[in-house]
Amino acid sequence: MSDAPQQSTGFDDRVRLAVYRSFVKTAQPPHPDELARQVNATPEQVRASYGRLADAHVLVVQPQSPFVRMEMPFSAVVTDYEVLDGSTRYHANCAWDAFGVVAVLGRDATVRCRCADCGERVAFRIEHNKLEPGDGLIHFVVPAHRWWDDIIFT
Amino acid sequence: MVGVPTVWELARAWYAGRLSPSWSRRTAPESQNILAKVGLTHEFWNLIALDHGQRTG
Repeated sequence: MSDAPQQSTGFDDRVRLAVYRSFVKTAQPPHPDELARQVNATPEQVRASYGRLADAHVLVVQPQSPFVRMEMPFSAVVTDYEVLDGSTRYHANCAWDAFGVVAVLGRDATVRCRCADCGERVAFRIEHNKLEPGDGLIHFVVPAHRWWDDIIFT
Repeated sequence: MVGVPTVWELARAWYAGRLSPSWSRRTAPESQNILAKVGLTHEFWNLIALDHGQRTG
């Protein structure tokens, strides 16, 4: 444990990947203690890595907690933006990220969200990278240069 | 407002390679280029102003 690097791009890459793999497998990030065991580090080293990855806009830690809230495009908290892949239900941070989850998974899936105009559930099916239905509009509210002012709001 | 097919195209490009060990964070100009390639060129989509070339998601 003690030989795990304190500040290492390689170490942070391993943490980043382990969180992604957990999201892909379970739709949730790993518990920080479990992740520490996986990467042969201490929970403190994992928390420090989370901090560096958050500074680099790779993930977002839930405020006042040691837990990952987002590793874009995945969300650890329930949202209106769902991706259904067989029996697994993923949550995304926004409509764009819901399609991002499908892209990261790299397999056929269904995106479900709520129409911001009428409130009805809408669904999009992606098979072999082809989108159905091929219409619809997504409303972006926050200008790109402000995304990280408050990424949870964005 | 952006069409869903454009958002799907954007998502595929934006999140490409995230599960690869060799993935590395993009620079702001690299991210801007992805936005431009799917036609998002209005100043609303300008990442550069506040990032000053730092790496972005």
